[in-house]
Amino acid sequence: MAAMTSVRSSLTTLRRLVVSHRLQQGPRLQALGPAPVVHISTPLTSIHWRGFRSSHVASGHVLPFKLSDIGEGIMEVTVKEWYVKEGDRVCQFDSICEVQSDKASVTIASRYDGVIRKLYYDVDAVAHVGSTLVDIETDKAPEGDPEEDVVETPAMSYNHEKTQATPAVRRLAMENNIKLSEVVGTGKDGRILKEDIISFLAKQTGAILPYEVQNIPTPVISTPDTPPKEETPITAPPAIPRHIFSGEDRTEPLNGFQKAMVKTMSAALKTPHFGYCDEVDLTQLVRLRSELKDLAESRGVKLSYMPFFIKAASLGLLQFPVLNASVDESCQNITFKASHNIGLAMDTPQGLLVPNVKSVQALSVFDIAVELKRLQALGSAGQLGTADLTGGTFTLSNIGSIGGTYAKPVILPPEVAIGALGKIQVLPRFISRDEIAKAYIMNVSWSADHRVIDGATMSRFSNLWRSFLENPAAMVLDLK
Amino acid sequence: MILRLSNRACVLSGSARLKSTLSTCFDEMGKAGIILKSASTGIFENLALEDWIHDHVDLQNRSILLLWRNSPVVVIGRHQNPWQECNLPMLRRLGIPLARRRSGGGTVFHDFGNINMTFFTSKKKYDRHRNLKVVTSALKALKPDLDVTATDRFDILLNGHYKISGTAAKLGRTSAYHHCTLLCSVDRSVLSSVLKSNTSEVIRSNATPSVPSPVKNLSDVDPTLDSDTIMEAIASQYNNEFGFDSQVITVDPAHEALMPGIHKMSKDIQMWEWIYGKTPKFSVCASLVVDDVNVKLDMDIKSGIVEQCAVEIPEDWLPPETVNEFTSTLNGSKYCPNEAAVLLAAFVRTRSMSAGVAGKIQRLCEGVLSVM
Repeated sequence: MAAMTSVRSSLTTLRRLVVSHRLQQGPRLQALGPAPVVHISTPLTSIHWRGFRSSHVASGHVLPFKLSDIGEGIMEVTVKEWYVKEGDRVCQFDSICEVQSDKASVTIASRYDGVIRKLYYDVDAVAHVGSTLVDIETDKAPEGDPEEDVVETPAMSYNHEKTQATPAVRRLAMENNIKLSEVVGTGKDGRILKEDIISFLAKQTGAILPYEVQNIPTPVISTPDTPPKEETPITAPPAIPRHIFSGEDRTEPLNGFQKAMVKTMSAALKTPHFGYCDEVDLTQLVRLRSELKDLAESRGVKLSYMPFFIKAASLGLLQFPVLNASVDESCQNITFKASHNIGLAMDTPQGLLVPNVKSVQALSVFDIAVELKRLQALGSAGQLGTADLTGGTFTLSNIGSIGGTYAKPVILPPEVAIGALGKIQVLPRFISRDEIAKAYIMNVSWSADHRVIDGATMSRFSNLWRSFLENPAAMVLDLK
Repeated sequence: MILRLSNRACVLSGSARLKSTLSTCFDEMGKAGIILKSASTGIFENLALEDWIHDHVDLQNRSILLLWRNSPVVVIGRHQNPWQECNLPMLRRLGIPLARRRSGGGTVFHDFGNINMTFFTSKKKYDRHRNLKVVTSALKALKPDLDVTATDRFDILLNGHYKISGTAAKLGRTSAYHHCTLLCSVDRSVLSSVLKSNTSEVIRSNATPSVPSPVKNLSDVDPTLDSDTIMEAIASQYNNEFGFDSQVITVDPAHEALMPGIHKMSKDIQMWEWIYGKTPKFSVCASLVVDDVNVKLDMDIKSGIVEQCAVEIPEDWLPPETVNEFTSTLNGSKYCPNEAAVLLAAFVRTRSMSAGVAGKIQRLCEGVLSVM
């Protein structure tokens, strides 16, 4: 106990210099009333202060927070959602819970700063007006608050209201020499958030960040040489030495789509891939497509190159069925799939999805175009179903629509091959010994399962596929 | 006369302060009552506008009426269950979005034939009956023999029987808002089909249920009662009832400079975690028939995430290990057909199975997805 007493007295001295709330446990960084902000993290402070915290807590004042009158003669409400749990720290005006009465949803806000000690009602329970909702343990203010002088006193805003901001935000403002009264608060009740300081700073340095970026603390770097630009309607502030402040790391769990991708790609690791790349001259195809474009549009479909690539792949698979096969887990049997269900790697707002066009061997180029349109509409609306997402036997990825030339695609199990198509470039090519002409060139990068596919097979398939595209008239001979 | 507030109009005086927002414009106007009309027909922008005014405008000595309309959308109350309240597959098919508002109450369908009115006041002046009186008086002023009455439940009935308006409210610390709908010329066939859930029998939950009522359009009794006429009448009756003298001011909720933070508010309420994730805990107990086989499906869903998933399938139809892997794929994922489809597709890809089993699993998936 003697040790405790001596630590306590030295601690009191330390407290006169500093109190840090960053040492608090719990997920929320909340202010402790009028907040001192300077942080000293000596081992003594961190370890022993925390130890004292738990015993100090018992001496706080536990206040019952009662459900106040809602108005309109309402006597009872249903508790619908709790925003806090026992042990959470809250500030005055933080939302505690949501109650409902007679079509009115009411947000109950805390009257005190402190720690939640007891919740009196479960969700869906009925609470009476005037009864206690929660017990809040308020902390005593530290004796003799010299720390308050360190912090800029709450600024008076244009509306003559106290500007609300947590101590962390106040410190950020102070470090960057910003008057809180000049910043527009976008938090509840006009509270100034960290993002508001950041966007204020961004405006000052002349870098106007778009709305979306303002949500994430972005590192704003400005060298002392760069004078702040004039920005209407704000007049340029005097040059202030700025330092780099960086955002914080953010960890979040993987969402469902990401988990699906992890599962699929991890399984793909088991497949030994080999790559094979080639170049295709699409000059004649480009001409053919421009001739057919209007006809297709009159039938209600926008014709791209993909239907041709897909149909050519199917014609090639007829000659090389091993590329449309599947190997079982133990690698004892290989199944040659009858149907050519060619998958399309699709970039949707949720991420990578691979729906497939079923039975391409029985479809015409126009049929494929119609089906692509349907899948694209479903994909962008986020409504692809299991039928469209399963059953694929071969995949094409048109990454070139976004960019790129060569790629190294990953085979999607249980398939054995995949092709990635680069962008179509206009390049000079020799058409005879001495003449150069304009050609439309696209690169294709194939990957195949080397357990069952060899290089020669892949090469011959690629040559056949290429020949259909370089000379589209040849496809006519093999139409079924 | 419609007065349009632009950003330039609000950057008044020489002081180039950042704080030239809608809030300060109201202060400068110095009126006790203000009537606003939203320039947007997007539900999320308009709900964000309501929230912004509620959070940022000083309503202690000032009241505001906001008039707004939306393109077709279904709006559920704060604590409701969308699977119980509307036909989600039909909404997706028709491309009609779903929104969850912050106020309580039941589910409604909006389109251009519906007027929304939000009465913002301080908590002391919160009086729903008086607000509804504004609406009924305005309608009677347009057509004196119109039989419209407000009920104890804050509905407005036409001819004592047909509901033409529903109410919801939100109370904060110091201020409150009461909003209500008004059916002028809504597409009633779409309304009745989207508001009828396809899965309500299989859902067990404590979420606030809607009370279905027969509805009618005002334009059915008098074709001259169109939305614009009615909005003007309500605006002038608002002035009469409360003794204000405001013109109708148009506000564009997309104006971030005028209403800082409104863009983020609008994005927040579009997130899946708000619209679906805020559903109170519920469970699904469904009997499906897949390939002439009876399948019993049991799921517990909390915050929109599947916490527990159990499927009862005859052992000879599918091996139990496969079924277990199937259910564990769904565990911990969102109760969302798109996400479930992607996860189950990954499951089918990565687990070695014969074509017959793969087909069965796929049809089982479709059955499960049909209740989502």
